[in-house]
Amino acid sequence: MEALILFRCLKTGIVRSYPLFFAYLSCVFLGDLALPPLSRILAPQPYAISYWTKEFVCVIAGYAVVMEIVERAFAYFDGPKRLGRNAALLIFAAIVGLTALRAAFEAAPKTVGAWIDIEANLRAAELVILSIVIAVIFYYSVPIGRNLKGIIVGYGFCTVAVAMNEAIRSFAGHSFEAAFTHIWSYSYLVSLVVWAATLWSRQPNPAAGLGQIDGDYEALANRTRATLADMRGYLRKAVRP
Amino acid sequence: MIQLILILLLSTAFFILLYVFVRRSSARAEGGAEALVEARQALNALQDNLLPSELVRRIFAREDLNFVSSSASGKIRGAFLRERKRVALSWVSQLRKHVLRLKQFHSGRSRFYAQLDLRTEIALALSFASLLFVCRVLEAVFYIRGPFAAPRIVGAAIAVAGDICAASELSLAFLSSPAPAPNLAGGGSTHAGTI
Repeated sequence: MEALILFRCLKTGIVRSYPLFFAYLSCVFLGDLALPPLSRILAPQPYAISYWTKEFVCVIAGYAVVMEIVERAFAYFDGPKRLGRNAALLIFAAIVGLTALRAAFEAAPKTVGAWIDIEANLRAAELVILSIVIAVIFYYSVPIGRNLKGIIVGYGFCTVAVAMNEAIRSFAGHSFEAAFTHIWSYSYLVSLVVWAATLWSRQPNPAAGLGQIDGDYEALANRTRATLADMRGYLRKAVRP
Repeated sequence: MIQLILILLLSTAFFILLYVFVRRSSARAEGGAEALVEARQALNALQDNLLPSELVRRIFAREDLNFVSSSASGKIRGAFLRERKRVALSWVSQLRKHVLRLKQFHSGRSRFYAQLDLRTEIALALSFASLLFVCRVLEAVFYIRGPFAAPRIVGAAIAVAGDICAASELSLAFLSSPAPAPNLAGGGSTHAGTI
Protein backbone atom coordinates (compact mmCIF):
# COMPACT_ATOMS: atom_id res chain seq x y z
CA MET A 1 0.00 0.00 0.00
CA GLU A 2 2.78 2.42 0.89
CA ALA A 3 4.56 1.54 -2.35
CA LEU A 4 1.37 2.21 -4.30
CA ILE A 5 0.92 5.64 -2.68
CA LEU A 6 4.56 6.52 -3.30
CA PHE A 7 4.21 5.41 -6.91
CA ARG A 8 1.08 7.54 -7.40
CA CYS A 9 2.80 10.53 -5.78
CA LEU A 10 5.66 10.18 -8.24
CA LYS A 11 3.42 9.57 -11.24
CA THR A 12 1.01 12.46 -10.58
CA GLY A 13 3.68 14.93 -9.52
CA ILE A 14 2.31 15.24 -5.98
CA VAL A 15 5.87 14.64 -4.82
CA ARG A 16 6.78 18.10 -6.07
CA SER A 17 4.08 19.73 -3.96
CA TYR A 18 4.61 17.60 -0.86
CA PRO A 19 8.25 16.42 -0.86
CA LEU A 20 8.46 16.14 2.92
CA PHE A 21 5.38 13.96 3.09
CA PHE A 22 6.89 11.80 0.37
CA ALA A 23 10.12 11.59 2.38
CA TYR A 24 8.18 10.67 5.52
CA LEU A 25 6.25 7.90 3.79
CA SER A 26 9.44 6.61 2.15
CA CYS A 27 11.09 6.57 5.55
CA VAL A 28 8.25 4.53 7.07
CA PHE A 29 8.19 2.25 4.04
CA LEU A 30 11.92 1.57 4.13
CA GLY A 31 11.76 1.01 7.88
CA ASP A 32 8.93 -1.48 7.47
CA LEU A 33 10.93 -3.27 4.77
CA ALA A 34 14.18 -3.36 6.69
CA LEU A 35 13.10 -4.09 10.25
CA PRO A 36 11.58 -7.61 9.88
CA PRO A 37 14.75 -9.13 8.36
CA LEU A 38 16.86 -7.24 10.91
CA SER A 39 14.85 -8.75 13.75
CA ARG A 40 15.96 -12.19 12.58
CA ILE A 41 19.59 -11.25 12.00
CA LEU A 42 20.35 -8.92 14.90
CA ALA A 43 20.53 -9.63 18.60
CA PRO A 44 17.76 -8.02 20.70
CA GLN A 45 19.89 -5.06 21.83
CA PRO A 46 21.11 -3.91 18.38
CA TYR A 47 17.65 -4.55 16.99
CA ALA A 48 16.12 -2.35 19.68
CA ILE A 49 18.55 0.42 18.73
CA SER A 50 17.60 0.04 15.06
CA TYR A 51 13.91 0.04 15.93
CA TRP A 52 14.07 3.17 18.09
CA THR A 53 16.31 4.94 15.59
CA LYS A 54 13.71 4.32 12.91
CA GLU A 55 10.94 5.46 15.26
CA PHE A 56 12.68 8.74 16.05
CA VAL A 57 13.59 9.41 12.44
CA CYS A 58 9.90 8.91 11.65
CA VAL A 59 8.88 11.28 14.46
CA ILE A 60 11.23 13.98 13.18
CA ALA A 61 10.03 13.36 9.60
CA GLY A 62 6.49 13.65 11.00
CA TYR A 63 7.26 17.11 12.37
CA ALA A 64 8.58 18.03 8.94
CA VAL A 65 5.25 16.88 7.46
CA VAL A 66 3.39 19.11 9.91
CA MET A 67 5.56 22.07 8.88
CA GLU A 68 4.86 21.24 5.26
CA ILE A 69 1.13 21.19 6.01
CA VAL A 70 1.46 24.69 7.54
CA GLU A 71 3.41 25.97 4.53
CA ARG A 72 1.04 24.52 1.95
CA ALA A 73 -2.26 25.21 3.73
CA PHE A 74 -1.45 28.88 4.28
CA ALA A 75 0.51 29.39 1.09
CA TYR A 76 -1.71 32.35 0.11
CA PHE A 77 -2.18 33.67 3.63
CA ASP A 78 1.01 35.01 5.14
CA GLY A 79 -0.51 36.06 8.45
CA PRO A 80 -2.09 32.71 9.37
CA LYS A 81 1.04 30.98 8.02
CA ARG A 82 3.22 32.98 10.39
CA LEU A 83 0.87 32.20 13.30
CA GLY A 84 0.82 28.47 12.50
CA ARG A 85 4.56 28.28 11.93
CA ASN A 86 5.40 30.16 15.12
CA ALA A 87 3.00 28.07 17.18
CA ALA A 88 4.42 24.85 15.73
CA LEU A 89 8.03 25.89 16.34
CA LEU A 90 7.24 27.10 19.85
CA ILE A 91 5.55 23.85 20.83
CA PHE A 92 8.24 21.77 19.17
CA ALA A 93 10.98 23.73 20.97
CA ALA A 94 9.11 23.45 24.27
CA ILE A 95 8.62 19.70 24.02
CA VAL A 96 12.20 19.06 22.90
CA GLY A 97 13.47 21.32 25.70
CA LEU A 98 11.33 19.60 28.32
CA THR A 99 12.37 16.16 27.09
CA ALA A 100 16.04 17.18 27.12
CA LEU A 101 15.70 18.62 30.64
CA ARG A 102 14.03 15.46 31.83
CA ALA A 103 16.77 13.34 30.29
CA ALA A 104 19.42 15.54 31.89
CA PHE A 105 17.98 15.48 35.39
CA GLU A 106 16.77 11.91 35.43
CA ALA A 107 18.78 8.79 34.78
CA ALA A 108 19.58 8.33 31.10
CA PRO A 109 16.52 6.93 29.34
CA LYS A 110 17.92 3.52 28.62
CA THR A 111 14.81 1.49 29.32
CA VAL A 112 12.28 0.76 26.62
CA GLY A 113 9.59 2.32 28.83
CA ALA A 114 11.47 5.62 28.90
CA TRP A 115 11.76 5.70 25.12
CA ILE A 116 8.06 4.92 24.78
CA ASP A 117 7.38 7.75 27.19
CA ILE A 118 9.44 10.20 25.14
CA GLU A 119 7.79 9.14 21.90
CA ALA A 120 4.34 9.51 23.47
CA ASN A 121 5.22 13.08 24.50
CA LEU A 122 6.56 13.94 21.06
CA ARG A 123 3.42 12.54 19.42
CA ALA A 124 1.20 14.42 21.87
CA ALA A 125 3.02 17.66 20.99
CA GLU A 126 2.47 16.83 17.33
CA LEU A 127 -1.24 16.44 18.05
CA VAL A 128 -1.34 19.86 19.71
CA ILE A 129 0.37 21.45 16.71
CA LEU A 130 -1.98 19.70 14.27
CA SER A 131 -4.96 20.82 16.36
CA ILE A 132 -3.75 24.43 16.19
CA VAL A 133 -3.24 24.15 12.43
CA ILE A 134 -6.75 22.73 11.94
CA ALA A 135 -8.21 25.41 14.24
CA VAL A 136 -6.48 28.15 12.24
CA ILE A 137 -7.76 26.59 9.01
CA PHE A 138 -11.28 26.70 10.46
CA TYR A 139 -11.05 30.19 11.93
CA TYR A 140 -9.76 31.81 8.75
CA SER A 141 -11.86 29.57 6.44
CA VAL A 142 -8.75 28.58 4.54
CA PRO A 143 -9.62 26.66 1.36
CA ILE A 144 -7.93 23.25 1.32
CA GLY A 145 -7.51 20.93 -1.65
CA ARG A 146 -8.27 17.23 -1.59
CA ASN A 147 -4.59 16.22 -1.50
CA LEU A 148 -3.74 18.33 1.52
CA LYS A 149 -6.96 17.41 3.30
CA GLY A 150 -6.10 13.75 2.81
CA ILE A 151 -2.58 14.25 4.14
CA ILE A 152 -3.91 16.08 7.21
CA VAL A 153 -6.64 13.53 7.94
CA GLY A 154 -4.45 10.48 7.30
CA TYR A 155 -1.50 11.84 9.21
CA GLY A 156 -3.72 13.13 12.01
CA PHE A 157 -5.42 9.74 12.37
CA CYS A 158 -2.09 7.94 12.31
CA THR A 159 -0.60 10.32 14.90
CA VAL A 160 -3.55 10.16 17.26
CA ALA A 161 -3.53 6.36 17.08
CA VAL A 162 0.19 6.23 17.86
CA ALA A 163 -0.11 8.78 20.68
CA MET A 164 -2.92 6.83 22.33
CA ASN A 165 -1.14 3.52 21.82
CA GLU A 166 2.17 4.80 23.18
CA ALA A 167 0.47 6.34 26.20
CA ILE A 168 -1.37 3.12 27.02
CA ARG A 169 1.75 1.08 26.27
CA SER A 170 3.82 3.30 28.53
CA PHE A 171 1.30 2.81 31.32
CA ALA A 172 0.41 -0.88 30.85
CA GLY A 173 3.86 -2.12 29.83
CA HIS A 174 4.40 -5.43 28.06
CA SER A 175 0.87 -6.65 28.69
CA PHE A 176 -0.33 -4.20 26.03
CA GLU A 177 2.34 -5.18 23.50
CA ALA A 178 0.21 -7.65 21.51
CA ALA A 179 -2.83 -5.38 21.46
CA PHE A 180 -0.58 -2.46 20.45
CA THR A 181 0.64 -4.31 17.37
CA HIS A 182 -2.92 -5.00 16.21
CA ILE A 183 -4.31 -1.55 16.94
CA TRP A 184 -1.35 0.14 15.30
CA SER A 185 -1.62 -2.06 12.19
CA TYR A 186 -5.32 -1.33 11.71
CA SER A 187 -5.07 2.39 12.41
CA TYR A 188 -2.11 2.73 10.05
CA LEU A 189 -4.08 0.83 7.43
CA VAL A 190 -6.89 3.37 7.78
CA SER A 191 -4.38 6.19 7.21
CA LEU A 192 -2.97 4.41 4.16
CA VAL A 193 -6.46 3.98 2.70
CA VAL A 194 -7.15 7.70 3.25
CA TRP A 195 -3.88 8.64 1.58
CA ALA A 196 -4.42 6.23 -1.31
CA ALA A 197 -7.89 7.65 -1.93
CA THR A 198 -6.96 11.32 -1.67
CA LEU A 199 -3.54 11.22 -3.32
CA TRP A 200 -4.59 9.17 -6.32
CA SER A 201 -4.69 12.25 -8.51
CA ARG A 202 -3.25 15.72 -8.18
CA GLN A 203 -5.72 18.23 -6.77
CA PRO A 204 -3.90 21.31 -5.54
CA ASN A 205 -5.23 23.84 -3.06
CA PRO A 206 -7.62 26.38 -4.52
CA ALA A 207 -5.76 29.60 -5.12
CA ALA A 208 -6.83 32.75 -3.36
CA GLY A 209 -6.59 35.47 -5.95
CA LEU A 210 -6.31 38.35 -3.55
CA GLY A 211 -2.75 39.35 -2.80
CA GLN A 212 -1.51 40.81 0.41
CA ILE A 213 -3.34 43.95 1.42
CA ASP A 214 -1.32 47.01 2.14
CA GLY A 215 -4.01 48.48 4.36
CA ASP A 216 -3.78 48.91 8.04
CA TYR A 217 -4.52 45.65 9.82
CA GLU A 218 -4.48 47.42 13.16
CA ALA A 219 -7.34 49.61 12.02
CA LEU A 220 -9.43 46.59 11.09
CA ALA A 221 -8.66 44.83 14.37
CA ASN A 222 -9.41 47.96 16.41
CA ARG A 223 -12.70 48.58 14.66
CA THR A 224 -13.79 44.99 15.22
CA ARG A 225 -12.65 45.08 18.84
CA ALA A 226 -14.55 48.31 19.50
CA THR A 227 -17.69 46.95 17.91
CA LEU A 228 -17.50 43.79 19.97
CA ALA A 229 -17.01 45.75 23.18
CA ASP A 230 -20.01 47.97 22.49
CA MET A 231 -22.20 45.06 21.52
CA ARG A 232 -21.20 43.18 24.63
CA GLY A 233 -22.10 46.21 26.74
CA TYR A 234 -25.53 46.46 25.24
CA LEU A 235 -26.12 42.76 25.57
CA ARG A 236 -25.14 42.91 29.23
CA LYS A 237 -27.75 45.62 29.73
CA ALA A 238 -30.25 43.50 27.89
CA VAL A 239 -29.95 40.50 30.19
CA ARG A 240 -30.21 42.64 33.34
CA PRO A 241 -33.78 43.84 33.90
CA MET B 1 -1.27 7.93 35.02
CA ILE B 2 -1.69 11.72 34.64
CA GLN B 3 0.23 11.58 31.35
CA LEU B 4 -2.03 8.78 30.15
CA ILE B 5 -5.19 10.71 31.04
CA LEU B 6 -3.90 13.89 29.41
CA ILE B 7 -2.94 12.13 26.20
CA LEU B 8 -6.24 10.25 26.08
CA LEU B 9 -8.16 13.51 26.58
CA LEU B 10 -6.07 15.24 23.94
CA SER B 11 -6.53 12.34 21.55
CA THR B 12 -10.29 12.31 22.05
CA ALA B 13 -10.48 16.07 21.45
CA PHE B 14 -8.33 15.67 18.36
CA PHE B 15 -10.53 12.85 17.05
CA ILE B 16 -13.56 15.13 17.36
CA LEU B 17 -11.70 17.98 15.64
CA LEU B 18 -10.60 15.64 12.87
CA TYR B 19 -14.17 14.41 12.42
CA VAL B 20 -15.44 18.00 12.13
CA PHE B 21 -12.61 18.76 9.71
CA VAL B 22 -13.56 15.80 7.52
CA ARG B 23 -17.21 16.87 7.59
CA ARG B 24 -16.29 20.45 6.71
CA SER B 25 -17.96 21.63 3.55
CA SER B 26 -15.87 21.77 0.44
CA ALA B 27 -13.11 24.30 0.23
CA ARG B 28 -14.04 27.87 -0.57
CA ALA B 29 -12.02 29.03 -3.51
CA GLU B 30 -12.00 32.76 -3.34
CA GLY B 31 -10.60 35.23 -5.73
CA GLY B 32 -9.78 38.72 -4.56
CA ALA B 33 -12.93 40.29 -5.93
CA GLU B 34 -15.04 37.44 -4.64
CA ALA B 35 -13.62 37.80 -1.15
CA LEU B 36 -14.29 41.53 -1.21
CA VAL B 37 -17.83 41.02 -2.47
CA GLU B 38 -18.46 38.49 0.26
CA ALA B 39 -17.13 40.87 2.90
CA ARG B 40 -19.37 43.60 1.58
CA GLN B 41 -22.32 41.24 1.50
CA ALA B 42 -21.65 40.34 5.10
CA LEU B 43 -21.64 44.00 6.02
CA ASN B 44 -24.76 44.68 4.01
CA ALA B 45 -26.50 41.81 5.70
CA LEU B 46 -25.35 43.06 9.07
CA GLN B 47 -26.82 46.45 8.30
CA ASP B 48 -29.95 45.53 6.42
CA ASN B 49 -31.09 42.44 8.22
CA LEU B 50 -31.10 44.13 11.59
CA LEU B 51 -34.59 44.50 12.81
CA PRO B 52 -35.78 48.08 12.64
CA SER B 53 -35.84 49.69 16.07
CA GLU B 54 -39.59 50.29 15.97
CA LEU B 55 -40.19 46.62 15.29
CA VAL B 56 -37.86 45.60 18.12
CA ARG B 57 -39.69 47.94 20.47
CA ARG B 58 -42.96 46.42 19.35
CA ILE B 59 -41.83 42.85 19.90
CA PHE B 60 -40.82 43.52 23.47
CA ALA B 61 -43.57 46.00 24.30
CA ARG B 62 -45.03 45.19 27.70
CA GLU B 63 -48.08 47.30 26.85
CA ASP B 64 -49.15 44.57 24.45
CA LEU B 65 -49.04 42.01 27.22
CA ASN B 66 -50.90 44.34 29.55
CA PHE B 67 -53.54 44.96 26.91
CA VAL B 68 -54.01 41.25 26.15
CA SER B 69 -54.03 40.40 29.87
CA SER B 70 -56.69 42.98 30.63
CA SER B 71 -59.02 42.33 27.72
CA ALA B 72 -58.66 38.67 26.81
CA SER B 73 -59.00 35.27 28.43
CA GLY B 74 -56.11 33.36 29.98
CA LYS B 75 -56.04 31.04 26.98
CA ILE B 76 -55.48 33.92 24.60
CA ARG B 77 -52.89 35.40 26.93
CA GLY B 78 -51.05 32.06 26.89
CA ALA B 79 -51.14 31.91 23.11
CA PHE B 80 -49.92 35.51 22.94
CA LEU B 81 -46.99 34.76 25.27
CA ARG B 82 -46.03 31.67 23.29
CA GLU B 83 -46.08 33.62 20.07
CA ARG B 84 -44.06 36.52 21.47
CA LYS B 85 -41.53 34.11 22.91
CA ARG B 86 -41.10 32.54 19.51
CA VAL B 87 -40.58 35.95 17.95
CA ALA B 88 -38.09 36.98 20.68
CA LEU B 89 -36.11 33.79 20.16
CA SER B 90 -36.08 34.42 16.45
CA TRP B 91 -34.83 37.96 17.09
CA VAL B 92 -31.93 36.82 19.23
CA SER B 93 -31.04 34.14 16.72
CA GLN B 94 -30.86 36.88 14.07
CA LEU B 95 -28.60 38.87 16.37
CA ARG B 96 -26.34 35.85 16.78
CA LYS B 97 -26.24 35.39 13.03
CA HIS B 98 -25.05 38.97 12.60
CA VAL B 99 -22.32 38.52 15.17
CA LEU B 100 -21.23 35.41 13.29
CA ARG B 101 -21.18 37.38 10.06
CA LEU B 102 -19.07 40.03 11.70
CA LYS B 103 -16.66 37.32 12.78
CA GLN B 104 -16.54 35.86 9.29
CA PHE B 105 -15.97 39.33 7.94
CA HIS B 106 -13.03 39.91 10.23
CA SER B 107 -11.40 36.50 9.71
CA GLY B 108 -12.11 36.64 5.98
CA ARG B 109 -10.29 39.94 5.69
CA SER B 110 -7.57 39.60 8.27
CA ARG B 111 -6.23 36.33 6.83
CA PHE B 112 -4.80 38.33 3.94
CA TYR B 113 -2.72 40.50 6.23
CA ALA B 114 0.89 39.45 6.57
CA GLN B 115 1.34 41.25 9.87
CA LEU B 116 -1.30 39.47 11.91
CA ASP B 117 -0.81 39.95 15.62
CA LEU B 118 -1.21 36.72 17.55
CA ARG B 119 -2.40 38.40 20.75
CA THR B 120 -4.92 40.56 18.92
CA GLU B 121 -6.23 37.60 16.97
CA ILE B 122 -6.58 35.43 20.06
CA ALA B 123 -8.29 38.28 21.93
CA LEU B 124 -10.69 38.85 19.05
CA ALA B 125 -11.41 35.14 18.70
CA LEU B 126 -12.19 34.98 22.42
CA SER B 127 -14.36 38.10 22.17
CA PHE B 128 -16.36 36.64 19.34
CA ALA B 129 -16.72 33.38 21.23
CA SER B 130 -17.88 35.17 24.38
CA LEU B 131 -20.32 37.35 22.46
CA LEU B 132 -21.81 34.34 20.75
CA PHE B 133 -22.06 32.75 24.16
CA VAL B 134 -23.92 35.81 25.49
CA CYS B 135 -26.35 35.46 22.62
CA ARG B 136 -26.93 31.86 23.66
CA VAL B 137 -27.48 33.05 27.23
CA LEU B 138 -30.01 35.58 25.94
CA GLU B 139 -31.79 32.80 24.10
CA ALA B 140 -31.92 30.83 27.34
CA VAL B 141 -33.26 33.86 29.23
CA PHE B 142 -36.01 34.35 26.67
CA TYR B 143 -36.78 30.66 26.65
CA ILE B 144 -37.01 30.33 30.43
CA ARG B 145 -38.30 33.72 31.55
CA GLY B 146 -40.11 34.81 28.43
CA PRO B 147 -39.76 37.90 26.25
CA PHE B 148 -41.09 40.34 28.85
CA ALA B 149 -38.86 39.23 31.69
CA ALA B 150 -36.35 42.01 31.03
CA PRO B 151 -38.12 45.33 30.42
CA ARG B 152 -34.89 47.17 29.52
CA ILE B 153 -34.32 44.78 26.69
CA VAL B 154 -36.29 47.05 24.36
CA GLY B 155 -33.95 50.01 24.70
CA ALA B 156 -30.89 47.78 24.70
CA ALA B 157 -32.04 45.98 21.58
CA ILE B 158 -32.56 49.27 19.74
CA ALA B 159 -29.12 50.40 20.92
CA VAL B 160 -27.57 47.16 19.68
CA ALA B 161 -29.23 47.63 16.32
CA GLY B 162 -28.04 51.22 16.06
CA ASP B 163 -24.56 50.36 17.22
CA ILE B 164 -24.16 47.50 14.78
CA CYS B 165 -25.30 49.74 11.94
CA ALA B 166 -22.87 52.46 12.96
CA ALA B 167 -20.04 49.98 13.37
CA SER B 168 -20.68 48.40 10.01
CA GLU B 169 -20.69 51.85 8.43
CA LEU B 170 -17.27 52.49 10.00
CA SER B 171 -15.91 49.14 8.86
CA LEU B 172 -17.28 49.78 5.43
CA ALA B 173 -15.59 53.16 5.33
CA PHE B 174 -12.32 51.43 6.11
CA LEU B 175 -12.92 48.86 3.41
CA SER B 176 -14.39 51.16 0.83
CA SER B 177 -12.75 50.94 -2.53
CA PRO B 178 -12.74 53.68 -5.16
CA ALA B 179 -15.23 51.76 -7.28
CA PRO B 180 -18.90 52.16 -6.33
CA ALA B 181 -20.30 49.09 -4.62
CA PRO B 182 -23.10 47.29 -6.43
CA ASN B 183 -26.40 46.65 -4.71
CA LEU B 184 -25.44 43.21 -3.39
CA ALA B 185 -28.51 42.75 -1.28
CA GLY B 186 -30.46 42.01 -4.41
CA GLY B 187 -32.91 44.84 -3.96
CA GLY B 188 -35.24 45.73 -1.18
CA SER B 189 -32.42 47.01 0.98
CA THR B 190 -32.85 50.37 2.60
CA HIS B 191 -29.12 50.69 3.33
CA ALA B 192 -27.73 49.44 0.06
CA GLY B 193 -27.48 52.92 -1.32
CA THR B 194 -25.20 54.07 1.46
CA ILE B 195 -22.62 51.32 0.80
